Amino acid sequence: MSVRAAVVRRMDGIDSVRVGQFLVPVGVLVVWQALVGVTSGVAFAGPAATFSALVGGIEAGWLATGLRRTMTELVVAYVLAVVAGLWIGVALGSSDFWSDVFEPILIGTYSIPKVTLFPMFLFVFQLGMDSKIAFGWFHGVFPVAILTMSAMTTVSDEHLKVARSLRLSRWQTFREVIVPSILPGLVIGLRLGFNLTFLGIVLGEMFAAREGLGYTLVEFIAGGQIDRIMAIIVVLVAVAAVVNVGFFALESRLGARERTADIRM
Amino acid sequence: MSEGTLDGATAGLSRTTKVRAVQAAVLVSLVVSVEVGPRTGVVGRTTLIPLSVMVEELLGLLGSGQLTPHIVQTFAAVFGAFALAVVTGVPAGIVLWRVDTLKQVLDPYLLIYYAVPFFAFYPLLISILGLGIAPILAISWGFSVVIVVTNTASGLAQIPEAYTAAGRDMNLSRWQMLRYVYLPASVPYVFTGLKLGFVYALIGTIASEFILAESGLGWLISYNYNNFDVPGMYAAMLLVISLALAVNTVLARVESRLYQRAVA
Amino acid sequence: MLELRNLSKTYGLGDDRTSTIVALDGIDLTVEEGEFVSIIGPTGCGKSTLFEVIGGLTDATEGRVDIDGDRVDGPDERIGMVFQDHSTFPWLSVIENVAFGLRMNGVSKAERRERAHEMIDLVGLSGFEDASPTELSGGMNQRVAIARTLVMDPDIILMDEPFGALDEQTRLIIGNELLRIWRETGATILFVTHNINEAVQLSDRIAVMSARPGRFKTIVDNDIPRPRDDDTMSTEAFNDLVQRLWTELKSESRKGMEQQEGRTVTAGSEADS
Ligand SMILES: Nc1ncnc2c1ncn2[C@@H]1O[C@H](COP(=O)(O)OP(=O)(O)O)[C@@H](O)[C@H]1O
Ligand SMILES: [Mg+2]
Repeated sequence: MSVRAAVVRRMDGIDSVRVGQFLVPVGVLVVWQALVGVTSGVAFAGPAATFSALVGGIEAGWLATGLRRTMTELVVAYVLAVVAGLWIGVALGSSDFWSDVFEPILIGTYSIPKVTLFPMFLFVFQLGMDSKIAFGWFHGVFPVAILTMSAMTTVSDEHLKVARSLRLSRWQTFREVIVPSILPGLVIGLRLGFNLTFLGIVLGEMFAAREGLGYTLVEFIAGGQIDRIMAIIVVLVAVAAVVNVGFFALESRLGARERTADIRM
Repeated sequence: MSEGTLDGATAGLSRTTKVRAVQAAVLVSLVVSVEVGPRTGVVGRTTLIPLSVMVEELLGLLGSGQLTPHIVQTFAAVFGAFALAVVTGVPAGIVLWRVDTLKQVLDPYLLIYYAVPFFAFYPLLISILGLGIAPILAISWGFSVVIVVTNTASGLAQIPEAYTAAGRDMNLSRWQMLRYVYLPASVPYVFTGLKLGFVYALIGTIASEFILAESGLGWLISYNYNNFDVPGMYAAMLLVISLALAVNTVLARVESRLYQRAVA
Repeated sequence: MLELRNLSKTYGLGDDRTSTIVALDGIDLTVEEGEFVSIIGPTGCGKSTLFEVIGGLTDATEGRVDIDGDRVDGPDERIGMVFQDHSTFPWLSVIENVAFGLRMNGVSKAERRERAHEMIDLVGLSGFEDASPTELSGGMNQRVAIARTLVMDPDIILMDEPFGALDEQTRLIIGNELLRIWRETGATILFVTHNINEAVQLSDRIAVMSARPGRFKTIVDNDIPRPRDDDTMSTEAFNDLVQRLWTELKSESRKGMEQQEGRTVTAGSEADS
């Protein structure tokens, strides 16, 4: 086969992938619409109904109010999870011994259904925003800590020796040598941490809150307002998608690769 | 020489032993603080109850049979969702591994899948399927199936070239290749997917029950919370967490055994 | 003047630190200003340990290091270190790598630029300022590492097998350039290599280390006149010196290899041997 033919085929391949990737959301819309027919619309809202509920929600303000509340909790919880996770990961990852000790403990805790512990957060932080923030933090801190810890093994001893021989302070060594070294693994941790914090916040709101999109979601079940439920889901999915696409762009620029499936979520 | 080798071996062992010892110390101090904290009043009794009280309560509830229907309900949902995830996820993973274009098309969507706060769909499913086991099965299946799909596909893709070359040398048919080469060689990787699939099904079930259900262990925790039955709540919590940790430990053991065999 | 007095270093091994390994045992050496001294010795004899002690990266168990009568205690600005391989920062460009130490020590941007450019010129990397180390060959990376050390203007430079990962031709060329840089900067250089030819090509004196525990078995003056060019390497004097060093080194290398093979093994009984 000539090089030219190979190139042409390759371009074909890329194009069909692109087209396919574009068709996935279209397919989702089609299936969604078809489901409306199947369920005969009683318990279900199609794309059009959802869209008008979305617009209605924006106009009435309940969507923006809920979103603002949820996002505030999310941002605070996430920032705290990143700071704590990074700190824990770097502290434990700096020592082989302590990473060996804590890795299975962290991974074990990470894999229990954390939602069962939510009542404890309610006991400690009451029903307000704090309990949601703490619960979101609790979800997000593990992936950040675990991935930071495992990324710490990629910090080169030579680089640390260079840092010491150039008399860098601890903070300079952290900022200028350790952070750039662990960045590829770290961004994956930051993305997974975001996703889990988000999940924790929404779960917390669904279970016990008086505000926020998760709370509104459960409220609308009682009222059977399925189009509004769908509108909220669309907003949540959109937030997750936008943030993750941003992270993916960052990851591919840094050449980050997910190392084990274990850490996927 | 031989004496020295022994030396090296015990030196290595003593490090592992030390790691184990410190891990045990961490866990014991956790257990002790859950016991002593509420007893000494460092933590309020309305926040946390001593571990021994939890255990006592749990044994009482188990003995009286009050927990049995909830355990049955939760297990039915977990195993049902997991079985569905395996039956649908493994074949889908094989297809994805064979059809590269499809994999390329779906890759970004599969990666983003778990970014969606999944339980938001639960109210929707309830309004479609009603409050019973069906929406729980649906959400746990959805939560678990994609990790099975992606791990099956990536597991099959990780099979060393040497195995497939050997298979081709023996003129195996496509089916024989799949049956005798690909599947056995990918067992460890696929198992990782199944392990995670099971853990996800468990998380999915408990979380759905917790938010809104009429029975099940997850529901019991939230029911007891809402009815101020703190000992009952902690007993159910203890049961769920112990189950999750036990399942995880067993599956992780099997997994590491499988990987060891794959390497050897 | 750099003085090493009775330097010894014992590493504790294992969790309990009861078993030990004596890496250095009574090292004495005086290096005059502007001198080029090479150190050769079998793998594992303690060469890197010696440099880490001199560079203040690790404490000596016994003995002391002085520069002009002033004790060295921790990383010192009068000492610069160049490490074997992969020590450049891949996330920084060449010029950012070279200017790194200056930036960390609060030197102004304008001055950083000027001094970094000067050093990049000196090591022959002009035109590659904005390249990434990942795009450069191993030899070019070592030039970056050398420039990064030189830019701090150290009096003494410790180089631990800096060309160990380079192929023979590159090593010869960069060795000649190192001599030029040494002349131009007037720095004192201590240089570890496992390549005897390289040691003879570069140094004023060559110290041969014994297998562990590391001591100086002998220190040989190298009177071969400078400048030494490629022809020098085929002279009789050159080959005689290489032979002589090889004879000194051979028995130690064999001992060293035996130690390496029994490495996992001997951990326990080292201290009293
Ligand atoms: N941090 C350390 N802890 C314990 N032993 C070490 C450490 N660093 C080096 N050693 C041991 O000290 C001896 C000398 O090592 P090194 O100085 O690296 O030798 P060389 O550079 O000559 O090859 C070796 O046996 C090595 O295993
Ligand atoms: Mg060395």
